[in-house]
Amino acid sequence: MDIFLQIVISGLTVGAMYAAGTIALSLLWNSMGMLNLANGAFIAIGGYAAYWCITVLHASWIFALPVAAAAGLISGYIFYHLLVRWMYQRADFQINIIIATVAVAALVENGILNIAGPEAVRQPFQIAGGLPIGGVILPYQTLATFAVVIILLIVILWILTRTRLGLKIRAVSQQKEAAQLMGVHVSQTFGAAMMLAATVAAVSGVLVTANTQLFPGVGFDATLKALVICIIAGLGNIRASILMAFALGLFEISVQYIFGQRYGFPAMLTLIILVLIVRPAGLFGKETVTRL
Amino acid sequence: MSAAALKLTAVETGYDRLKVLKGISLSVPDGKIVGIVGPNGHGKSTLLRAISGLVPLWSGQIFLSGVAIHNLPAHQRVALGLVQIPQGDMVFADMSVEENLRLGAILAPDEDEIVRRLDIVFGIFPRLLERREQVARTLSGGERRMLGIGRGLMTAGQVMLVDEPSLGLAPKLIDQVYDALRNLKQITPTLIVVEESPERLQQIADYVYVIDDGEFVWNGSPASLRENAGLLTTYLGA
Repeated sequence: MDIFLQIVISGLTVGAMYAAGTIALSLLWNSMGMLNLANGAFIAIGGYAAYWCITVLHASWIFALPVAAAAGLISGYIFYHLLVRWMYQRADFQINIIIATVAVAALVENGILNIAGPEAVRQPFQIAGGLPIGGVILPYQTLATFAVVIILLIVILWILTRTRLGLKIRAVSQQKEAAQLMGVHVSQTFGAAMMLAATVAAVSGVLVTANTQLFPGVGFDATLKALVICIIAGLGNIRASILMAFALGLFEISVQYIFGQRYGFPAMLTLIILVLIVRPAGLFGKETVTRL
Repeated sequence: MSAAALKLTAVETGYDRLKVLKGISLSVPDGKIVGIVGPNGHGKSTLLRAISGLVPLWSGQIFLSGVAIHNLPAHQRVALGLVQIPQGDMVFADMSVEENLRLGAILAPDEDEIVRRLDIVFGIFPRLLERREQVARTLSGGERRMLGIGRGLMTAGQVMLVDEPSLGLAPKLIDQVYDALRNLKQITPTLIVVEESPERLQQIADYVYVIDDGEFVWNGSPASLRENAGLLTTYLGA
């Protein structure tokens, strides 16, 4: 029983971390059809912003998330205006942006490497202790990650469904031309969605790095996992990807417990192949149907 | 006389190196309905897309109530009172009917104004009121056409461009759509309607232009178009 509980709690911990890394990727695909492989860059930027804020400036840990959010917002703005806005109206945007964002991810990683050095450091945004359940401990860190993921999800869904900006974002994602014909400034809307996603990614970066460690390439693994989760859930379905993050966290930990540590990630990759064969649009994805 | 609601002078444009519009000039007086007819692939939609700003001009000018708009991006032309109902509706398929309509009023100053416009549109299309909460992708073809027009009305534009309102609809539904277009006059005074066949159009238009291979080859009143049977056979194969 204890072992089962331990697997569940470890799975939830890993799942919460995966969920944190997945939200922004899913949001940007959902809203703009943009597969942002520089997602990990924003995760790293958020993680380092919080680290500098607490360790270098000796600020209270309370500031970690707001500072990371601000860093994400600003870098999202720069990212949009330096790169995305010049590409999104061109042909083959969806493919070209994937390649371009891989380049951005490498640039940011190397930039951080030059500034901060290659050492892995401990993310100071840590909550000690945990809640004893049965014979095992549910770490407060897991609960906090869980809580922040839920809050981010609620905020994003609120923005998308209840605000004017959200209405514009959805309009641009569903019918770019028609949105223009209604007076929506497409470029501005795209920029706002980009900044929103970058902010979310940076905040989640603090949570992700708190569970692992902080090093320049930290975003790569998170983005890879997020990609797997998004594809299995169905790209662009934000709610489904959050659920899938937890499901895969549990799955990975279970496999690791039963078959051994090293089989966790290969098992996930096997799963993705199976899902893509059986349901190419993902488990909760919509088949693209053109109605005439 | 005040400036025309919409005026085009020697407009030329196309895609890549293919020239589609070959010097189109047009003047639409305030409060009139102008019909443009012509065979498919001869520049009707391109003309509307050029006016609304989806296709940049190669040369020529476009004036909306005397204001040059040909260098403005599409969304700014909407703010000045120009609205296009695109071909095939292009409704926001995953949004509700009301959200679609609200998007038409995205530039409206406040909620009171949005509600006022919603009331007007629901007055013209009671069907949309019944379907208010329904997701647009589940509407029938005729309902979607009405939603497309209603959404355009929500912009409260003064000049409305309608691209093939009868496309793909059953005759009975086409009648409904044309009844609605006739009623639009109280809200959007100036209409430019593009159709492949002049049959329905000549019942509502004040003036008709015939477009062929990117040029206007004839214009006149609907009555004289009817008398001119040879013209219809030559250009429209009717």
